[in-house]
Amino acid sequence: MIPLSIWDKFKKIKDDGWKSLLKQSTDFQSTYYFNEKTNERFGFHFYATLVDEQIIQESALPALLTKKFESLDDLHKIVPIADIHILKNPKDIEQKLLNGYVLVTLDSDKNRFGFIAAQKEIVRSLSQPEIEFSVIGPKEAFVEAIGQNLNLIRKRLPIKELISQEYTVGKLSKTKVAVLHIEGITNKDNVDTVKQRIRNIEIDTISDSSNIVELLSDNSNSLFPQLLDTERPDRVAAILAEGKIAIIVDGSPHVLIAPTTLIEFFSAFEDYFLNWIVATFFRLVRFFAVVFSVLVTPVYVAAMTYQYELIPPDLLGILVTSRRTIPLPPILEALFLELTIELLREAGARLPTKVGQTIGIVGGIVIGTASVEAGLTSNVLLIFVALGALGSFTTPVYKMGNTIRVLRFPFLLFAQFWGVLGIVFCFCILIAHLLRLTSLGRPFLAPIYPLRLADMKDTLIRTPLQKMSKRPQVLRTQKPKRFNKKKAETPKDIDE
Amino acid sequence: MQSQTIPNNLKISPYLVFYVIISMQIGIGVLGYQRIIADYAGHDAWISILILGSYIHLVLWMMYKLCEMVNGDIITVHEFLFGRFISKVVSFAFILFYIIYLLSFILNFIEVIQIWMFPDINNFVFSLFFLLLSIYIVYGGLRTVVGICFFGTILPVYLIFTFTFTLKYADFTHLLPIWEHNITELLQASYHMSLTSVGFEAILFIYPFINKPEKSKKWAHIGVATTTIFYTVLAIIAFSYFSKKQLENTIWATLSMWQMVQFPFVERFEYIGVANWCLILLPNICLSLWVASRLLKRATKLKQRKGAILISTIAVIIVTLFEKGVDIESFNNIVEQMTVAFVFVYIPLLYCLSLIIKKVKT
Amino acid sequence: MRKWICIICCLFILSGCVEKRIIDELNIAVATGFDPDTSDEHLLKTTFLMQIFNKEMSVENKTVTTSGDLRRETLYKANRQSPSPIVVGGLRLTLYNIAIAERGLTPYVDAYQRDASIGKRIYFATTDSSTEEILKGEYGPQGNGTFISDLIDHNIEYGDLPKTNLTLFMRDFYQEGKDVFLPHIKKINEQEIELDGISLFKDHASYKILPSDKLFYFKLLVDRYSKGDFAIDLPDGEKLAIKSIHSSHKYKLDTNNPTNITIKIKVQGNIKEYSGNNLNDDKIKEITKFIDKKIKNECTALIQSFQEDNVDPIGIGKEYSTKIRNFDYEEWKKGYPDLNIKVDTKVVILDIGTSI
Repeated sequence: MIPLSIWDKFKKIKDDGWKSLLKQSTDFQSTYYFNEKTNERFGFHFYATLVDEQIIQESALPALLTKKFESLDDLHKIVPIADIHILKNPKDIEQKLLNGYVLVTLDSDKNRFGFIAAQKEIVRSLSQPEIEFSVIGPKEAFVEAIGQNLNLIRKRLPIKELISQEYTVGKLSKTKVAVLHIEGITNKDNVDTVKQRIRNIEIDTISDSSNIVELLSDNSNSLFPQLLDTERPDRVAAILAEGKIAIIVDGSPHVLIAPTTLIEFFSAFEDYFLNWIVATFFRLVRFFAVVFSVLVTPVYVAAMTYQYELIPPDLLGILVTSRRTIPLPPILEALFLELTIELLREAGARLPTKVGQTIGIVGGIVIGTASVEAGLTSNVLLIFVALGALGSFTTPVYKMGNTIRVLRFPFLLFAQFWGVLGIVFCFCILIAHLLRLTSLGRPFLAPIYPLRLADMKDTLIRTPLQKMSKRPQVLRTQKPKRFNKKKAETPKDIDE
Repeated sequence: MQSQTIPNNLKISPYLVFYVIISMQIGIGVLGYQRIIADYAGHDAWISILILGSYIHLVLWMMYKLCEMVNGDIITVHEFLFGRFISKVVSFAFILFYIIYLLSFILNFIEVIQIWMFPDINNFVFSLFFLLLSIYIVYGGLRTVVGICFFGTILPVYLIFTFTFTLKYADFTHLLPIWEHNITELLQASYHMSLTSVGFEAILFIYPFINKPEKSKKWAHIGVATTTIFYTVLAIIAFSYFSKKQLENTIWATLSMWQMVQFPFVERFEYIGVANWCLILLPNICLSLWVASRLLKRATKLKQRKGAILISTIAVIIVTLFEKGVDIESFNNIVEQMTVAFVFVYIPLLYCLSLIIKKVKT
Repeated sequence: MRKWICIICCLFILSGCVEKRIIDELNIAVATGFDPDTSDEHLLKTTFLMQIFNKEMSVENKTVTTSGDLRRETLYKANRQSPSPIVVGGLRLTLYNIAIAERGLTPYVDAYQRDASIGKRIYFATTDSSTEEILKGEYGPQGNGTFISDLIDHNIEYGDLPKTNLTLFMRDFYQEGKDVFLPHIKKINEQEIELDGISLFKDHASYKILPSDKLFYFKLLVDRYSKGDFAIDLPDGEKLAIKSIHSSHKYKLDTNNPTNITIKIKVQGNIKEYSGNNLNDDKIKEITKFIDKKIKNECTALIQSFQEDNVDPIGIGKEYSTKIRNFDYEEWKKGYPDLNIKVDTKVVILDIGTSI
């Protein structure tokens, strides 16, 4: 067992140019050994950073050294690893090596190449969902590794109908993207659309599933996210069962769900773990918070700038007094405060957690009170802006929360332009835009428009689980019924 | 002429016709029709609304019969009955009709805004913004336009509840004695109600886009019945709220009634009401624009996108040039005569004619 | 993209299109008062009452008085005395000096009907003293405008002032067969003010003040449904305070002879205070009967006085017009003083409180 590090000998095996590139990487290793039985020389070539050394040390190398190794075909017999390929085309070498295979060369069999799978998966341990945290319910969140994510989903849906199909996206990043659906439930057209679009993606690198969202969206100029992303495996499992499609992107802890609707962005998955009345109440609160958050400052600006008649006499005194010393017109006052809040949020998001929290508190309290005392902003508006910001944070999906925060600026602009009329006009624009949006060609506003009363059971309200016996009509699933409703609820008479 | 086969995914569900009819019927007229009809039939004018409502049902039935006959829109009907040339002439007449119709909405709404909100709002800017939005919607196709019809009906529904505030001041004895006016006066009032009630003729143009049109019939009639009842109830509330002479002096009775509405957080509701009317007018304008541009496409092969822009440009120019010099009242009279002639006279005539021609042909 | 930038630029350039009315740059008038001009140069003298809000949330009253011939003219002139434009969108009250009211309110009503920025829930009232003096008083921390309008407001809601506001005034103003009336306010001194009855109008001009002790009976006749408090001297010298919690009236026309009309009044009330002792069933019956008679007499007397003056604030003419086809108001008006109007009352004492 004399390891020979002779790169120049390996060079003679095949001269194709690729190895000169490989050689440049210092983590590429080439080692040669002699088999004990046949005394034949064989080589191990691999990226040390990509392969699991333990596999080589414990499984591959001892077998190859001690057992009879005459031709590459023996690999299947003697190495206790399932994923072994024997290929002839030298073009495949590069790809396999980069995917974490070990290239085995045999001096007597120079035209063929053996590959032993020895991928090293650097796996982060499971953590709690951070963005979609819930007090009740499972505490698992997705991680970056696609295999592990798939494992989390398969555990929750142990059926053979759950189909996972993998694609590679990105010319440089070669990111693995898996499309999941349940055969026999999910609409075929939707699955085909997703696959088609993923195949058509033309890009060099994919850093996160958010890139895929952007590339798959029907209208990439829209402010609204058109694919739902979640970090909860339980949510993905439930939504797959509903007849939707999940897209897992390697390297991203967020799984995408398609097609989706606007309403879905406002439902937290925790809603399903709570009593349905409580959940409905929370959803309504959230919806109200969003509407309030978008409209409160524009309405303030409209009433202050144009329609003072709208203000009830009892409130008039408070508002006039609070604005007396302020030199800025209402719109600038509102923009100033809104931008301050955005600044605080952005500063908090960019800094490490602990510092971020401090910034939030210091900024919120100090800047707020100071600007009121300095007479730069009115205290009434400060309350409105703070409440509005709070309202925008209630959105369960982070990306939608961002949208909501940006959304108020056009409203502000129109409020300054035409007062209350401008707000309604901007609202019309918003509705028109939402009407035109689609997610995988399915209407984004469903089930409100087109109206599907049966689907309304899980929108602003959440009805009891037994009542939701049908899959959303808008998905046009192959099996519209989820379960037998009659079996789910057996009405009993009194004292039976 | 291009084929009339519309791909299924562009068609609308039959029940949506209900919203199309309601949103098209309820337009700018609602804000002040009470005074106009009360001028002719006094406190009995609500009967006129019911008379007109039943006539509308009849006309609607005829419209469906006409469309069913050829399984296409009104242009196809003309082509079938009179040949290609006449149908082209007719489609240009309809394009003109819808442009004027669209103008009447924008002009009247601008007038309302000028009097109730901003005396100095600019005709050009307002119409430009409104039509840009309409173009954006029309570009989304009929499904988006109908979606706007849907939201233009559903979202302002809450306004109905605001009229309960006026009930506190309503004196229903104003309606007594019933039937004090003779039938001529009632019919006159019905005639003047017609501009407020039209809009349902859009069915003639969207018919080929309806999925299973025979199913939509029911919804169309329910829609017409709903608006008729709404108009009647609103008229009764107005008659009981205003005294007779007071109503004669009130141009926008509906808006004036909102002046009594008060919430703890809103002192003067009429401002919200006027602003909200934006959402109610939008379907009218969008569907008119859609119909006009579609007809233009059928008649001249001009792309509908370009047609919509062309028509809006014309509309913006006219609205901008339409200064106070021209009386909006007389413009409205022209629109009224035009709509009555088209919807309530021409369509029934056409229906009778179609029966005769069908007999002759067979 | 360039297209959108252009549109947004346009938006900004054109944003100066609509006139702005920023709240703290306005002088919001809460009340106006009309007096005859003493110098006889103009027709009227108008007082605008503005509220100045202090930091401590108390309200300072600020008045501006100008004279002119038209209401709007006085407003223009008032702006010359004001640091920021005076706007009328926040009006809650308009006072008329009785001398103005006696001239007739027709010229004033038009402005209120026409101007969309004026709310329709504001109150009109008449007063004996100069409205300028009334608006210049100091009645409470909430400001004079709010003070007086709240005063009228709660007296309508819980007291015996009949329902009135601009809308109802306007309705009656244009109504054939009903004369208008307005609350009448009296200034006691610089700090106090009181509701002193109702001023009755004849052909849109004030002619008589109905004293406040008749208000309860007047309200019974005018408001279809009403509430109110009243006190009664019983024949045995005792006194009784009653709270009417529900009352209603109905008209009944004699079909054979339309000159006979009966007004049926139903009052349901509670006894709130009784100066005697021991209210037993017999006593209650006796009291009920007495109140019944009292209301009947008072109402009949009121109606008779109206008939003598040929005014109709109750709206009997309107009642006729709803009952008779092709009603000729002018003809009816001539016969009005000779109408045979009867009052039928029914009083029910619902409870007598917690003691006997």
